[in-house]
Amino acid sequence: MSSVTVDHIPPHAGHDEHAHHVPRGWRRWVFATNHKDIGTMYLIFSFCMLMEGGTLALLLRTELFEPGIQFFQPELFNQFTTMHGLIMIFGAIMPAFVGFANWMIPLQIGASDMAFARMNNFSFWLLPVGAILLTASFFVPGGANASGWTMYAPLSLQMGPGMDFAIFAVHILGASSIMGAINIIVTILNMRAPGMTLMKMPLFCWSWLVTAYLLLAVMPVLAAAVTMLLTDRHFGTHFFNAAGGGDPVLYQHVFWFFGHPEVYIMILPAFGMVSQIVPTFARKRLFGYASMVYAICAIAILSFLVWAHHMFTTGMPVTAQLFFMYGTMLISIPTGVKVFNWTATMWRGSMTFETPMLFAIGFIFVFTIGGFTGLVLAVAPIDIQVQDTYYVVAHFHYVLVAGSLFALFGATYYWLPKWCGHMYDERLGKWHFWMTMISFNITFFPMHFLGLAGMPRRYADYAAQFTDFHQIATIGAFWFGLSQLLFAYIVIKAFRGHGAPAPANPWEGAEGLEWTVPSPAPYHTFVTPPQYEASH
Amino acid sequence: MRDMTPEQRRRNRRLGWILALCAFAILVWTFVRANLYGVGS
Amino acid sequence: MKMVRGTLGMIALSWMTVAQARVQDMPGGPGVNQLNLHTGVTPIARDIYSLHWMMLIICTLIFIGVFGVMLYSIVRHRKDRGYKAAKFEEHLGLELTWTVIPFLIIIGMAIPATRTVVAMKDTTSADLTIKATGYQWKWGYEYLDGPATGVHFLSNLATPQDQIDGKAPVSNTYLMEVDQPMVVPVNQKVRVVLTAADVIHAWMVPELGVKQDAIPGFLRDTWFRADKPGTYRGQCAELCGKNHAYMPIVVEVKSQEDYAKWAADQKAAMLAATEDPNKTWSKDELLAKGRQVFATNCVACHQANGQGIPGTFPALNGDTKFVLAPMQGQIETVLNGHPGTAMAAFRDQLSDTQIASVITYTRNAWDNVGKGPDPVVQPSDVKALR
Repeated sequence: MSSVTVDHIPPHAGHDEHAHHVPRGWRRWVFATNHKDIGTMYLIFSFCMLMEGGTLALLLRTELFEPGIQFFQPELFNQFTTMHGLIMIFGAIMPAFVGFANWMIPLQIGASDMAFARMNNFSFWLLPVGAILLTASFFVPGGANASGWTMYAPLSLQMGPGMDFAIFAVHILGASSIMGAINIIVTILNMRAPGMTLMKMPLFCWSWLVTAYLLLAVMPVLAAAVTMLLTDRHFGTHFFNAAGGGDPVLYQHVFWFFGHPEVYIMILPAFGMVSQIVPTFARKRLFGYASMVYAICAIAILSFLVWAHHMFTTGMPVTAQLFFMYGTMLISIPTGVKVFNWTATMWRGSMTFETPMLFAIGFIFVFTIGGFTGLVLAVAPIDIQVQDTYYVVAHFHYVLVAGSLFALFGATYYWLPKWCGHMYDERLGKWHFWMTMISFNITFFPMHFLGLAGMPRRYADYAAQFTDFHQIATIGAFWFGLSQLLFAYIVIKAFRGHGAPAPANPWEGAEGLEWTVPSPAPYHTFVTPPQYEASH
Repeated sequence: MRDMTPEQRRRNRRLGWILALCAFAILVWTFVRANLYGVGS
Repeated sequence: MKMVRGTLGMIALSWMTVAQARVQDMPGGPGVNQLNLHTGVTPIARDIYSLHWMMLIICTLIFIGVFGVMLYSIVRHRKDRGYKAAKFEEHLGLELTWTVIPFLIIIGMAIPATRTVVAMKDTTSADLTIKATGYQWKWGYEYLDGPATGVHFLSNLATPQDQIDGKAPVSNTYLMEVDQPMVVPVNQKVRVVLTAADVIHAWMVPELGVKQDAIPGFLRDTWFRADKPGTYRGQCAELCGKNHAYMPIVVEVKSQEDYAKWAADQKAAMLAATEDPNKTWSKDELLAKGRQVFATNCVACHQANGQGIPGTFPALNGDTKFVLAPMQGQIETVLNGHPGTAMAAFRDQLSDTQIASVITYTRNAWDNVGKGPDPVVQPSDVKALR
């Protein structure tokens, strides 16, 4: 459909011209500066964290199978819920998206690598350090942080040394994110191939450009918030202690000023991925490219103005309640536009439903449900009833799991042939999709009912009337967790070469520079920038 | 990276430092706002 | 490994579940497998219920519309049906329409919501004001005006530990029953002023349509007007430590006459309970009372066997720093707590007699009997150190 002319692709993978070889052994990985290698490491790391965070979830869901305390005392249970959140957000979802950014952005814009290749290495290697700190915190006296991933003061001031481990981990992971964000912005702004204007850039790159600005803006705020926790805990400050002239609610303002943009950081790249996948399998260009760009920007800007919708029960003045309610409701408009545009892309396309498309459509379907419950939560009076209940837990798992995680799965299947040169097993991929989709809904849909009925979150034990829905959720959770082992098998199987060799472009409707290089992508690509002339 | 001209590198570094400065400014701003809001020490 | 344990656990406990009697709806609390909000017993709760139905209906209609279109497309616009892809990429009119119409829908949703927000925030002209204080891990109530002025008490979870440990079947009010509920008159605007003694808690009663954070060092307020007598139950709704799930709220709404009678009874009981602080108690009296106080206030952390939780909550059995030591240190610890830890200050929660008796109990329980100085502590000893 498009005509992308590329000036010059070297016939070999770029080995000839320089006395330069692909590094071998452990040095290749420890000293990696290649965006593909670093991307691969991010993705493997994030999958390991997904398993660790998932195990924590299964542990707590096991305790929640019946009322009463059977396996884990409440203080340990609170550690599981807290660390499940921290590990999934900072260890699994965010690094996974950065892994995709590393792999795909240079390929999509025709750059040879990221702008700061060595800083890229440092950004990655900080992650295992942070992960070790988080994991180790379980084994210090008092155990891991048990104050929720949100770490509200003053509760977090009561925690033992595990809290300090978590604070340092957040510092380290945050530094990694900030450096990654700088790298991505500079790469996208400065290193696009000649002829690729911003408004011709693949939407995945747009989504990451905006996400990177969000990261840059709010990770420092989180760093400040947890530093203030640290100094309140150990250095005699009272930012959050009323007796010293401080205010616990100050922590919430600072935290959520980070926290709300953070959730958009975790979804915008997913929007970008879906916007690549749907046009490919509909064999039709993305509907309303410009609107999609504006919608991403609108969502990002609005995300700074709504943080206190997490604080409707703290006792804000009426005008503040209204302001944040209206702002939050407004975000649904650009988000809705995106859903409509994806639907319009599918409309009168010529669709096939390989695994990436299944996940993309699944994403739209289930993310929209999550979006609707978000709109319900935005209505402050309703929020008063369901804040801090399972209704909120249902909402954010719908947008983060059925949202972000589904997009990550879909994008993995989509770009896997490019990474490893082989097609994945399509039949198994479909199994993975359907098992994931069905078990996800079994796990999280009943939580809406639990929340409306008043079941609070972060509870190790509950009234007997809630039992049936909890049991359904636990069974669904185990099925969901086991299904992800199938995903690992599929990926490993493809990487070991058990699948049809993939051509440069295995997907009939796919457009973009990444599909002009061989599969697997050579170690060095676009050593000389291509001349980009898409017929747009 | 062999394939980036020195000019390209300079431009990248300049933008990189500007962005890093922004991040640092936001960090400082957060502490200042917290101090004005509540007692720091 | 954990999955094996979990599965085995599930099988074992499913067997037990089947063997137990069917649980019923909780009076004033959640129904079995309840699907939606309850209508509630206050105008605000009913408003919220209606708002939620409105949102649900609108969202469902939009959902059906959008996914109806998508489903149609998935069925018809397929390559394997031979459908050829169209080439359109934009349509300004369509895009404007589906931006403007949602905007109007949002405004339509926001108008009734605004009315309810304003109503919920108006705590003026209350008929009765009660102060609720969140503690780790119980609520305290104090009546600030009306016939029960001055009445104050703690409201502790009343569910027996056996039920929590799985040694007895759980009741219909499991985890949502207390020893002393908050009592209010029907059809009166009750203003609840909230604060906390240690960390942030939240006071939530779904039937009343109320949830408000209790923030240490600050006062917040909310209000309700119950229009039906009855017992209504809620739970703490802000993570506050290990027993976050074990500090419920029970509100009994009585007729005006019954409320007045309750108030009078409470004041009489408070008078009777005021003890002569200089009375000398016998060791047996102190031990009996102390055992009760320990079970209600100390067991959560220090455990029934006095061993605590190593690394987190210190053992009292064999403790030579406070328990098997001169009484002054232990009295001061119970009165003032250890700031920055979970050891609360009990000076405002427990009377001199309660503190003296629980300290005496710890000094004579488990292996501590016969060891250490000052085995008996009198209320006058506690009063002297306040």
